[in-house]
Amino acid sequence: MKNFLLPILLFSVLLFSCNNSKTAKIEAVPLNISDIKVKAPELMGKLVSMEGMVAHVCRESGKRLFLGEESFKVLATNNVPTFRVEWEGSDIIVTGYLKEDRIDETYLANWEKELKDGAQVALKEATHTYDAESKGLDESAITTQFDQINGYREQIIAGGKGYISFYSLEAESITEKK
Amino acid sequence: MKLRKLNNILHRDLGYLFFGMCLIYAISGVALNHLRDWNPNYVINKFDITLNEKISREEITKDWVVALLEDLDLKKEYKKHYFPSNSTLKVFLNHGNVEVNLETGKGVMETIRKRPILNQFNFLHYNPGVAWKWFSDIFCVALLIISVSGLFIIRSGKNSIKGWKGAGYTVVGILIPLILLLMYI
Repeated sequence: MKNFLLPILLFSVLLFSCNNSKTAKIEAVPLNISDIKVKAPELMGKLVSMEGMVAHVCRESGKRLFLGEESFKVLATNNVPTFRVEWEGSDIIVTGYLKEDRIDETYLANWEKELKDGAQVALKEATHTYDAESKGLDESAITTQFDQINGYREQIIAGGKGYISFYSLEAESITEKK
Repeated sequence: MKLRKLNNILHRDLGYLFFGMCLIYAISGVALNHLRDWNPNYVINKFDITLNEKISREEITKDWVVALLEDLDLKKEYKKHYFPSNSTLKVFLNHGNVEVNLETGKGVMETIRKRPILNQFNFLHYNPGVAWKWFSDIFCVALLIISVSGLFIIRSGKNSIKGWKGAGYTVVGILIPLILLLMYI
């Protein structure tokens, strides 16, 4: 018995840590994917839950998931470190916190400068959508990025707010509906 | 108990206890280090397909999709289908998907299989839950103890930490990451 003291001690610490990891449950606000643009401003910082079919999971990293026919972006976090490719086509309920990335002229000018300075810019997470990926666009290519910058400039002008918002959800939990 | 004896016992027992963890982190570490060069989690194969006849979105039913999969030897793989756009059909399979451009009749079938062992190791590497977080924290502390105690296993001679070989190897092992750090910053 004495010889197994170390593994037993280790196992006990693990059990203790698991039992003490329960935190107060916060009620999530249900949100339809189609309502995001309208309701997102009032739901920032609140836990929301969304339901939908997994349209795509990022093959390389498993860090991004696109939900529903709208392909709304869900991001992995410490609590949900990766998404499984086998979830594609399954209905899931995901809870998490909405994130807004505002793209304005300063953001675009810095991005443009990076490219003109010859820096190899990986795809920008803030603006990355499944739309580009499904069209087979290489978002790390310089020409694609210049096209994106020009496109966003037009959208900013058309929107009249001085910026455009990209919303995503930082996942806290995921349940696959059977 | 003498300090050196305790040192050796700790080194030995922690080494045995965390042998499995060392394997998991070492193997998945190499796999994830080369994320840009390959997909460490899945084996993905793509095949071009062409529909025998043109069909419109309105004509497509579940039975038609299942029949299409039967032609591709994938009848039992059907999971769900939807239309990402008016001209695109996407079929989800249990192990992959099929995407067809309804205007051209051309499409791509993607089959996906988990890489055995590596997929599970990588899953653990990414810290899947609270119990794993604590266990891997304990592993990190144990790794520190294993490293430090390893320096003092051999009492004297060239292979000890006081000898040219022991001290030299240790210094080189510290210098390499330092030099790399200076190169990158």
